[in-house]
Amino acid sequence: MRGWTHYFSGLAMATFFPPLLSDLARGVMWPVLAGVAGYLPDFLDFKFKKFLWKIDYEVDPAPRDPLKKISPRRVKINELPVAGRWRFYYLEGFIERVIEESEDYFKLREMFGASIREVASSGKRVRIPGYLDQDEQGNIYWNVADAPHPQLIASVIAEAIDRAYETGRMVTVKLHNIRMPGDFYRRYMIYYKPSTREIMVFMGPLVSTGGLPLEGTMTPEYRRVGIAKTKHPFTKVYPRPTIIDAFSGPEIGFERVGDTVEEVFIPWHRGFSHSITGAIVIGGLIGLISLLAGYANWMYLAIASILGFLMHVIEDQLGLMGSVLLPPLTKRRIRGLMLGANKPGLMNFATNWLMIALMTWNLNRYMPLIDPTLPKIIKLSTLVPGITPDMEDALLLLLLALPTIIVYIWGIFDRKKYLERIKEVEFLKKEEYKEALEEAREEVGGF
Amino acid sequence: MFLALFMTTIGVYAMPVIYNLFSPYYWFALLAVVIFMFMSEWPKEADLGRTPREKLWLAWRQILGGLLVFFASGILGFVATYSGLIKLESAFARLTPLFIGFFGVPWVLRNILSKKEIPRQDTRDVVETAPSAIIVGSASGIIGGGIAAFFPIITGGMGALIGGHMASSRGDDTFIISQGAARLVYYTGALYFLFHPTMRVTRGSVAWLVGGLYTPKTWTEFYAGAAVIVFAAGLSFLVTLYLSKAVSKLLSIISYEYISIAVLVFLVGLVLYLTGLPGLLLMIAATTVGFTAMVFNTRLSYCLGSLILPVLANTMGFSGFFFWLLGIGW
Repeated sequence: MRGWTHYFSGLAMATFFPPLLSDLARGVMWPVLAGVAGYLPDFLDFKFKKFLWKIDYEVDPAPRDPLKKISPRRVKINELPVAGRWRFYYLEGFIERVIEESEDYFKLREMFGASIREVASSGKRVRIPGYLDQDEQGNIYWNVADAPHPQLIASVIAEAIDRAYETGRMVTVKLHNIRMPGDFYRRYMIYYKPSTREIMVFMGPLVSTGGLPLEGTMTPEYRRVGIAKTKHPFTKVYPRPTIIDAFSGPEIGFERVGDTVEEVFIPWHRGFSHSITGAIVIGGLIGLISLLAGYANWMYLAIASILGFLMHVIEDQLGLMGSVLLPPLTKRRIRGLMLGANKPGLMNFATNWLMIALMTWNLNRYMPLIDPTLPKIIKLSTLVPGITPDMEDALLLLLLALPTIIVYIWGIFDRKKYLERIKEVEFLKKEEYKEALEEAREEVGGF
Repeated sequence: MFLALFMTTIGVYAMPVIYNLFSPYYWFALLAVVIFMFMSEWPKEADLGRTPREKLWLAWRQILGGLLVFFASGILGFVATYSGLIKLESAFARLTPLFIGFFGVPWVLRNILSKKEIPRQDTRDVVETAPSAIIVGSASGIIGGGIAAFFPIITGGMGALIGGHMASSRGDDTFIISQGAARLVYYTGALYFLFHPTMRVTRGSVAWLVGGLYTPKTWTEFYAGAAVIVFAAGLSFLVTLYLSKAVSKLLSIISYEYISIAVLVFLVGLVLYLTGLPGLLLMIAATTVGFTAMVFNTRLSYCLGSLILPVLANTMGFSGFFFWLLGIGW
């Protein structure tokens, strides 16, 4: 669910209390804190915990230019560490002398639009993007490329899994995304294959912030897939494939559970901040603060805040990740219900609609309580024959919430479809990855 | 078409009900949106920090920068509205120096300073987006524009932020579509509210200007308004196709820097003509606030604090504090 949905749910909870509604109509704005409570779980995680979380491995496949904040960054040859193998940079300078010009240097010629000798004689400054690599004999060379090699990422993840198994503690890997000029991102995908203990990383095309691939930007086969094997068994818990492109890269935790290492996607997220315990603590704090500030309806506000916070927790259970529900009694995230996982946007909208329905329902039925001179605006008993005044509120709620109910029921059926689909990740079936995968498998572990 | 269809069918019955239900809570909605804007600020550079402390600082620098911009623009809003700095005869344009300073001048100055050359534009009839992005973008724009048209002070941009969250929009193409749809629904929808015989809502400057001269009263005028919307939409679609191509071609022929300098001269001249030297001073102050938003990489829409802060302070009973702080009326 998106941030606004949680926030809106918190605000909707405040409308269940006529004293709070009455305050709002008079310009007393304390009840807005119920909305704040609704959004607080994500706020705490994304504005604090994310940055304070201990990172064990930081994988930056394409460091950014410090000024332009886009990849690649310029690097001096004498500053290139061998440990920086497969990482995407660019070299810049003049060609002083051409030792040889063979057919193998076709990529350079394509990039320059001229032969290397011609560029050298023109005296032009040239920029050559690529990454440091080693050949079978161990000789270091510069591989002219438009993306890093995915082997770097696969190797680090495999190492982190083994370390988590051997040390018994959680090991976190931070994966940076690759931001290229023109607001494009180089997409890469991580695929875990527990049956063969393989970590596969696929370097994909350039994509827009909306995830649309840019035609003709797919990486060539020989540097499309990286595979690394782990020594120890592992399990992927989060069902969605790990795809890194726009905005920011995720942190992935690895934790030994019994005789296997489990993947914990963004491990700093959905802990105490997304629990029933957290709801009681935060709601209590809001109540206390408002009481100390002299707010008369502090008790209603505290309850509305607890409900707002709880709505966030409940809404998050509808998705994939779930959360830790009752810390300190429980310590591990429970899996989400995965309703409507193929169309999370629709589920999000349906939840927003439900909140609009609840707000409309509450504002209508409490109208005479807030202002005794005003009647209910929607009176179904006067519009529909056979509806008694006792039934009209319940019927109105049903009518208003009906679209959400339909979408949620669809979401239950969609769950099954989704689980079938993710058994085989779609991109593995594509021809463009199949051959590259076979090729990479032959070279597991690199040269 | 959507707007005309909605307003002449479901909207006829739904809009007055929605208005009567939600109108007592306008300021609550406004405050809620403002708080959400701050809370949902996405730290763009925090990942680039080397230590947890640096990451935290990079994240919070942006959020705190947003707060600074909001309150600084709010203070300027108080000064422009209540201090008497702008003479009474220019009071109709009291916010002009602020808005030109917040949004116009920083933009043209940045164009001039960055010395960017606009590359040749591709004007072929190719749509670089997906049908799903068009649907989601339009949905978020319609929701956002509807919110902006209905609730006072909430602008198309703020509305589109909420609409984007509701419709789960993501990506630059979706964003551009949603902003276009939001503006259309916001501007046209707000004016069209004026034509609704049973609602009597005046939203947006055009509605206020028109409302001063002519007030539609009958259902005939209401449906005639819908027909005009559909006709104008069709016409503007055709005109936009050719106009955008012409502008795209001109942009790579005429120096963007020169256009920006000409615009800057025009803006400064306009402020000076309408509000005199005090207005110019306000514009310079507002320009620094607008630039601050750029420096902190935060939302420029926080500059709307110039409108929002005085309104919220009045509603919540805090305006006396700001008057005391600024020495206004003491």
